[in-house]
Amino acid sequence: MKKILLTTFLFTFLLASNLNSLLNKLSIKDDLSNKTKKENSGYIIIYTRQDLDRMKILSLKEILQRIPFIRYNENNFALTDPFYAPYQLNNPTYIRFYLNDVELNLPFGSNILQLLGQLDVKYIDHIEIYMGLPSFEVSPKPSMTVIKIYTKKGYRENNSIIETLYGNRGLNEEYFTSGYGDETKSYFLYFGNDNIKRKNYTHNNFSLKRNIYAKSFLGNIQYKNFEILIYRNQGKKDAFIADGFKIAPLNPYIKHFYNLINIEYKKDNLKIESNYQFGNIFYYDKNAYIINYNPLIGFYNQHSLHLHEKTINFKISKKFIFNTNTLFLEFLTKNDKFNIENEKINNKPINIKYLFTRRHTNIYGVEYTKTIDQKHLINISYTRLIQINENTKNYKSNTYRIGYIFNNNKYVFKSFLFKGDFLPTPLMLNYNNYLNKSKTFAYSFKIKKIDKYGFTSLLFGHTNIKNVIAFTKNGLVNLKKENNYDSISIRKEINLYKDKIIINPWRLWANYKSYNTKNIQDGIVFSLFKTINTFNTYSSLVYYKNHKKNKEGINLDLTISKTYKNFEIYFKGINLLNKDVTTDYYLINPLTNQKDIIKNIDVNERIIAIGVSCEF
Amino acid sequence: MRVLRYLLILIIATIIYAGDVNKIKAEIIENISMLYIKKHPIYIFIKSNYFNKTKKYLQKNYYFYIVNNCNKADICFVDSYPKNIKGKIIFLTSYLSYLKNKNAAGAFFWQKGRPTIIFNKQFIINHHIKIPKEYEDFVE
Repeated sequence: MKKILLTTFLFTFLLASNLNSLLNKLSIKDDLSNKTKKENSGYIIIYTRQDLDRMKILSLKEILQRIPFIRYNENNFALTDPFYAPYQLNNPTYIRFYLNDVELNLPFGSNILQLLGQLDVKYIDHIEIYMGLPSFEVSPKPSMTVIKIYTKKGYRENNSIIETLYGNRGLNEEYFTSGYGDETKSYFLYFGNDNIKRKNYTHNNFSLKRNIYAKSFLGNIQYKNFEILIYRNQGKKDAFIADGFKIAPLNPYIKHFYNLINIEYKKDNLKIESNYQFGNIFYYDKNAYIINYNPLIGFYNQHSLHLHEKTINFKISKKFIFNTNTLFLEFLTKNDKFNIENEKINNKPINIKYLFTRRHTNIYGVEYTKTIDQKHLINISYTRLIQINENTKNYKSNTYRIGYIFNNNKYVFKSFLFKGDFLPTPLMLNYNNYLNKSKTFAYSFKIKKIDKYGFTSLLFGHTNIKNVIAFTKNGLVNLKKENNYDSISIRKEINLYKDKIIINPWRLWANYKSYNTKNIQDGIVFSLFKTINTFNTYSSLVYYKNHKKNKEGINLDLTISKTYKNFEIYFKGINLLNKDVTTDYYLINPLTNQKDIIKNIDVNERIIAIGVSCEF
Repeated sequence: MRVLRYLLILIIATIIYAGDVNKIKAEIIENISMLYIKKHPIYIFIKSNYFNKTKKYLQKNYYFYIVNNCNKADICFVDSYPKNIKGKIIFLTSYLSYLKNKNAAGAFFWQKGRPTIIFNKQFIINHHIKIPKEYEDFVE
């Protein structure tokens, strides 16, 4: 009897400590990011489900701020644009944005990140960020940064949550999520309502507004090898200073409707995927002075248009594995259609003939990986792109990448050599249909030392871009001289039982030979995830300095959350010190060359909010 | 001696199985099985999408035998409650199945992005199973 009792006691004692720690271990090891991340694809930063649960991010804006070599910024329409430069067109391929491995893009030149970057993202399970040009995948065109967000899965949720958030300036957001199922069949639904009241400004008695109202729906259904993803978003954004000869906007706005339907079949190493994306963007601009000049009408102070964009993609990929060799083949075909309707100038319909409305693209990708032994890996990738633009110039592009990876569980060394092209968007071709592709070349390496509690890494990259597309006095042209970028980033991650510390300083040297200027940008990201008694906390400090523009700022974010049975309450503070880096905006009168400037605009204004969620 | 043997099994299992996801899952199955069954070897039946790949780790273990029929097992880890099976310990590996079958000994599933275990209170009382204090949060 004694023996049995002792056995039972010892069992229960050991089990108690074991099972709890095992569940903890499993939640880290079996995090969905471990299934989706592609270490061969380049230099990756992951925000896991556990990180995001503690961060309680309000939008992707908070993630963009933490990516080395990028500064969160917004353009003159208050749309997300980390590469914003006055009077330059945004190139949506610089940052590619994926939802469950589906690239979100609209063909004419709209940038989905601009539309969704400031909206709620409670449907996200984890985020993967692939940094630098070499971090490209087979088939898609090159990109400076790839942001991949993955939605929650019903079989990982098994609950319904209703949540509401209230903040300063009347910010309020409501969400509902529901997901149930098992590994063979599951669903996940999300409804979100964003009412983002932003810090508005007044300039020369004109009100400069940036408020956002949006509604989102996401549905994800999995059944055996099939998965359907539906995402819809519609909203209205006040367009801040918009366009004009002077900063004198009269309530300009952008209304958007974006829709994605993706169907995927996956079995073993075969993946077939088809998606349909369409967007309707209504743009309205009115200025008290002058917006622009049109040879047919003259000067005008009101402009509106309706842009329709559609894209249908079909992709098939297969991986072949022979002993230590892996061959990955992918084919993607894409049909794009876009047109502008109801364009009005000074409230009168105008019929501007745009260059083309259709585009067809075929992309062939191949990737070969050889594992020499357990430690050495060589990866060679090639992508061939053929783009047929209706009634105008066609493009052909080749992208190459060679990578070498060494991994001995203590040290990881990655090195990549990359060559590829950035193609002009249809919007750019409407300005100049003789534009050449921008040619890029990059090399980089990263060394990572793994220890018991995390890792320390050093990343160095060199990027060269020729034929950069930019507006000059001669219109939109390819710049003759090249741009060079050198970057260095050190990252230290310490993972303790429930706590985590990240320290990530970086520096970017840019040499814009065409403009005969150089610039240095510095940044430090510090994050601390800490559990104090029953409170989960997340605090983050992001420092940024742009030497040439003489702009620097520091952003302190803080999240504290606590769970009571089925309720969770949290406090969220963004830019608490109100010292984050600001942006100066200006509009130029081309007749007088006079600049109308508004300085020190907070693109990341202070937010103090309280959220409550109820699980049932 | 017996106690020491069990202790040794647990320690060895913990050391060997640390790391790999399927090894961690196998260890969870071992722990749950040992909680419900106080004998060895323990005969385990698995028909679960989430745990199927753990069989190879459990098969190698002298103290746990994998069987191919729930009738022959001491404990069954299954996605859905098996029909025509009586007097067996059924541990469900699907939340929805558990909601439908409250006769199950317990359930493993993911909830809110985290792995979760439930020990069925009624089952534990009926079968006089001793649950350690640290597990009280799992009992419902």
